[in-house]
Amino acid sequence: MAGVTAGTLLSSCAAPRTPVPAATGGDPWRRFAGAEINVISENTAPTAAIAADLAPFTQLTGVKVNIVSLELQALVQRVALDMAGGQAQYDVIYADPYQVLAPYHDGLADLREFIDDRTYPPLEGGLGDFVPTQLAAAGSFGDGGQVYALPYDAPTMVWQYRADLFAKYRSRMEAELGFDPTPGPERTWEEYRKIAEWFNGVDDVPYGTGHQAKQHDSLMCDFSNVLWSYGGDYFENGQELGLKGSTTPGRCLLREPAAVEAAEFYRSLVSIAHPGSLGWDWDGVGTALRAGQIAMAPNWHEYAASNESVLPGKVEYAPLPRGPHRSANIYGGTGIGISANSSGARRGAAWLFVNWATSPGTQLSNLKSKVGGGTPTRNSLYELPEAKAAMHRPSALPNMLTATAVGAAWEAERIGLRPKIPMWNECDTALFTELSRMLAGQQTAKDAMNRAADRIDRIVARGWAA
Amino acid sequence: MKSPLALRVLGTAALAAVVLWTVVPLIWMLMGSFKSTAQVTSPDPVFFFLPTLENYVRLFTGANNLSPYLLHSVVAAVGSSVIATVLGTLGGYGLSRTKMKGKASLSFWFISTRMAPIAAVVLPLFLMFRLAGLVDTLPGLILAYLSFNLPFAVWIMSAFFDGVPPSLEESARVAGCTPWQAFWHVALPLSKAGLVTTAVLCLVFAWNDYAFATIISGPNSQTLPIAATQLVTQTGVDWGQLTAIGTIVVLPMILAGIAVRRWLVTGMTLGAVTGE
Repeated sequence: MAGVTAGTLLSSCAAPRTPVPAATGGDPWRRFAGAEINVISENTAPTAAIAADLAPFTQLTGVKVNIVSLELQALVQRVALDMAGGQAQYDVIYADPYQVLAPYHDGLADLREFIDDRTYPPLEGGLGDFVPTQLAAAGSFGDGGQVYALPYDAPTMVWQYRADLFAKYRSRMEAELGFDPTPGPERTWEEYRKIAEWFNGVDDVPYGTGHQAKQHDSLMCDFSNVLWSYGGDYFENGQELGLKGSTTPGRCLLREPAAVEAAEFYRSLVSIAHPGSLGWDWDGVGTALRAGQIAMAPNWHEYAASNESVLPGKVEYAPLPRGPHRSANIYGGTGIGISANSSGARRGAAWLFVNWATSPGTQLSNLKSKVGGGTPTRNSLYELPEAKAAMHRPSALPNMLTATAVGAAWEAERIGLRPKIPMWNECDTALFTELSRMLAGQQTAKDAMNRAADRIDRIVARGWAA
Repeated sequence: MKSPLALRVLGTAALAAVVLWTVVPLIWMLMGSFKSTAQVTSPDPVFFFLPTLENYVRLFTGANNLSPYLLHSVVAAVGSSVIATVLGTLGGYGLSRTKMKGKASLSFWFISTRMAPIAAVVLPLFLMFRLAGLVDTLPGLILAYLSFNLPFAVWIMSAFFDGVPPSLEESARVAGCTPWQAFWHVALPLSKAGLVTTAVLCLVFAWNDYAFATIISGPNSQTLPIAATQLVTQTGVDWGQLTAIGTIVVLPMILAGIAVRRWLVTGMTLGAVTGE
């Protein structure tokens, strides 16, 4: 399927398609009044919030919006087919950096075309208002300076822990473990393991830690935090590869001693974790934490609202522990872009939607939405008094309770970025399959890393043509 | 001859186990749809609770109102089933009554088109539909379901007509009937069980389809199975609404099955009785 898609992709987007205003007038937001656009998105919190209340956008622009939300794999399939068809059934596309942006960036419009065009409403705060690592990771590909997507959501893994239990046992743990157990970036993964083991022996929770170690993408995410903190990586210049992306990442580095050490530690960590870990993805871990099955876990920070509704005031957040090299917190955010095949008034209207959906005002509304949530990708929003107040309990916007932790996690030295390469999906499968075999005791950490590296090298060697 | 008591008890126990295996998940789903979010996600199973319509209300009033999905499902499933059954009946009758060389191979070719996995045909189908402007349209979805249902309907109806002795139609012809009248007044009524079986099976396939809908449908033609997947989100699964959608999807098929069970059972077992 990918071959067919890629083959027809370039021809279909060779020429820019100038938007033709459907209506004229003084208000740039009303330029395309009467147009109708289709938006395709993963089932994310911001999309749920926007879909629940499209009236503000329609009133502002006169543009009708149809939102199709799907789970990610179905979305990738539809986007690939849509681009291959040479037309744009979907004008606005949820562009996952690894499954849409990297393989199909040529099928996305360069948003500078709209940002630099003074006839459009200005992008509030400019590109500089987006969290820089997010703008690069979710919006760009290669060195050309193109902006293919604007950061739309920003799930990032942080240390989620039962603050009530840590408060209850802090002195005892400190005395018995010989260090202050309070979660934070100064804690090490070795200490995290010791804390988890300590909790295994108390009555309040069955297990200290839980992990998303199912044979699934979640296993790669969970492991990557440890890999990077131990100084390992998937390819040379991993952080730059995660920010800029490439179609030729070079040789896989998982055979290196740091990666093997990380895998060995991860195996030992999961061995003392809740046994359910081997069948959990991120949702399983979130459910286990809320059900009182575990005292702590690395997980996506956007679970904060759910945690707060079930365990109000009991869950706190910190950046993940550090390894010998650094603390690494995997980023899972995504941007929204415009299909290069979108044309005429729909193309212009699509930009109005992207501009509006990523604006600070809309992001604040999403945070307040009963069906939404998500996390703002705009720096300015975190400075609003309303948002600042929500970072502390009682919080009207519970996802903001993670703001300090994720703010630290998004710093350049702490962010964890997967390789932004078109063939990452296959590499991911190779990695989590080998890791899963390791966790099942079918192979050693060294064998798992060697086999994963061999498979990844073969996948990368096939190359990618778009 | 009466079977020994132990054997009958064993048979009943085995049947009871199968019924439990089949029915318990459905009952649990039905119960879940009437539970609150806290009850449906409770780590301890909740058996006794005050039923609430909260999940159904949210389905039909929330961000993704279910009504259009339901309408699309009904139109696409009923439309494709009716067309497949009508054309399948005519095709199956023709295949059954025509004497020609390679008839068995032709019959096998019909059904062999059902053997290809949907994944193998969905891309070329999408490209053809795109060219024809059928993507994201209900006629497109009906046509996609027909591509799978029609060969099946032709094949199964042909088998049913094979079970109707041609001598009955010949008698009707002798009595003055036209070929069409012989078909309409004699062969067709005798194949009622086959008709019902074919229609129900085509309906079930189209109603439950996810593979075609995920590729061919769009904002204007999405069906119930697509709506169900929308409840699996990045930050969790809305189990309450999911069980409510599950109930909405399953219930009509169960009711249809119960309504036509007499013909369905006859139809399902006809081949076995006649040795087809």
